[in-house]
Amino acid sequence: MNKTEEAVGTTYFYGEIWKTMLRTPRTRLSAIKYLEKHIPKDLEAARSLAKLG
Amino acid sequence: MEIDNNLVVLVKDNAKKSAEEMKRLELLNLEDYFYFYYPVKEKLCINSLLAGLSDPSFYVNRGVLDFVISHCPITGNINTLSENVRLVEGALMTLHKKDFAFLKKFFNWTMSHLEEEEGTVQEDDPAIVTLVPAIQCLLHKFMDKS
Repeated sequence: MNKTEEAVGTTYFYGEIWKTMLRTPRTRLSAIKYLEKHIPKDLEAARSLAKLG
Repeated sequence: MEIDNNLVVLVKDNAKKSAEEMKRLELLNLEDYFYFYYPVKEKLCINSLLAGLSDPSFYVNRGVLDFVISHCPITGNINTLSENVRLVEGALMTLHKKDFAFLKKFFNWTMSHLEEEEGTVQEDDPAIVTLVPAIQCLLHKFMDKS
């Protein structure tokens, strides 16, 4: 998944996960768990993640 | 820029480039954060969360509230007022399932910022400002249906 994110870009990657959650009920649990784990919780976390990556 | 054999060559200065990138990253603002992680936020992300809240599965409902508790606190600046009202309305529609874990998470999200010892709550408190319009919307919907 990380390689896919690098390949397509963060915006499109997360956009597709949000779309999947909206359209496909069976994937909602996996999608929300992934989003909860990988989206930075606030702006500071996003900045530190951006600096590292 | 370098001159080599009468040719002008543009050379990337990696040190300068990384310094510029670092500067740009430090300036990452809320708009950029939404652009990367919540694209088309009001139409896509909020509707996805609402779809999760109305999902028949308890685990999905709880998962959505866990996400909202950790990433979109009601006192924070991630969601606008209208987005919070929509989410609260969606959560209120799910309360009829009588899932106590969901109920506990809902109260945690909306009211954990209120201190127990506090006697009165301010009128502009985020809990009141979101709950009241959400309940009003629900009442209007049910009144219109009947």
